[in-house]
Amino acid sequence: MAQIQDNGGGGDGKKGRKKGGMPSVDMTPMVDLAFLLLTFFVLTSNLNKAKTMEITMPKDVKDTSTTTKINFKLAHTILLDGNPKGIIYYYDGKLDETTSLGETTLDETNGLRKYASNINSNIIDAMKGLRAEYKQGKMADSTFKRRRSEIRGDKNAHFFIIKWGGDAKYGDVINVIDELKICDVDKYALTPITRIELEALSKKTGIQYKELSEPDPSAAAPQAP
Amino acid sequence: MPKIKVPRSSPSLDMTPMVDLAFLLVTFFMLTATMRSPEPVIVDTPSSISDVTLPLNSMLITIDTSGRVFFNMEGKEVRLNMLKRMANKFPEVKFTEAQMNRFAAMQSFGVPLKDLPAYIDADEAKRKQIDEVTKGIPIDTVNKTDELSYWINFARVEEYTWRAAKKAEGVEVEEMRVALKADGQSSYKKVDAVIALFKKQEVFRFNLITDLEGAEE
Repeated sequence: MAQIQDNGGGGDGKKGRKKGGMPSVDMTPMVDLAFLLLTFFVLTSNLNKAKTMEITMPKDVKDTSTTTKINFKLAHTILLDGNPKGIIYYYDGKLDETTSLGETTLDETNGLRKYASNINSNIIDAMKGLRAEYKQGKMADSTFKRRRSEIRGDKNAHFFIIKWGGDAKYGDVINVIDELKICDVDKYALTPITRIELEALSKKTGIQYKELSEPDPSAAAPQAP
Repeated sequence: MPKIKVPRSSPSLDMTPMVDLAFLLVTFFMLTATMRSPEPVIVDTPSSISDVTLPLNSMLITIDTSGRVFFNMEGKEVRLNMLKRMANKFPEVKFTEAQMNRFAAMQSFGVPLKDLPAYIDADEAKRKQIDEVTKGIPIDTVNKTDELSYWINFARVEEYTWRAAKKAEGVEVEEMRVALKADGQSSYKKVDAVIALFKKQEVFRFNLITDLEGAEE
């Protein structure tokens, strides 16, 4: 504890006269306060920063004749209908009468992550190697970023289409994007569910989605096969 | 043999340098800390592994569980000019000089333009009440009641002029980002409607605010 060193005044019997020397003040409360404030600001300033996920949306293109056709062998579609059980439906390639929808969840070991990482294993392995190299400090940041986008953006990389419909929640969509990010999937798209998919989904789940009873808005603009 | 004298008073330490340092740090953190802007609604954002921090210069659009839209833009000057443009666009809504200045110092809001003067005049408690019952900023493009597009548009235009003026003064400000903060439970349809407005405004890159979740890299 800081102590007031009060040797002044006493001893020689003379009152009212103090000996020379530094007048000292008990600084303990002030120090306490200073550190309290310090702790407060350190904690709040670090917790305050909002974390974000950067997302890039494609421009709406009216003329579909110039857009690149997707390779259905590499396409995987995830269907979200916002069911309370959190079941995610998916299918690979093109949807036709023979396609059966797969079911999965957001479970970390047996859910969507397993499905996506099985599909994307080549890229995940390549990224593991790249990250290991980067961690050893052999690589500049720019090189890492360039090689990362090369690996993830490979033209044979599988891509995922997230389709939402029914009561799909914002959180469901973010969770799926997050799982895909964990699996190093860089190619994904977000679109509303189509009529055919909704019908297939309805057959699978037995839910009569309210969009199905409405007239089909996409019927006027058929999508190129 | 003389005895070794044990000092009777408790050992004391000169704390002055420590106090100096402590206050220096306090001052530093006080000045660097940006106060969290009060939010009209509580939004529980979904979690993700993304650890990118939100750029300081950003426009924030909040969507709550029931799909109500709130808007916030930082910077007094930008806010003032933005509201002036809004008032020009919708001359049927009248703002006094005092109201405009008060708006410039405000934060996030979520009322249609016609209710904005009353919202500006309201005190804190009254604003809270309004926030609870408001329907949010209209985004309906079909019935042409959409106002959010204008807010976004004017905010971007004013922010751009402000940034250009800053640059002329020699202060480089990072480019503004559009941030979307939606509740995990809000319907994606609503979020998509807002994203569609972004696209119309040629905002293709934006930030979705999420909670950091501890996941292995």
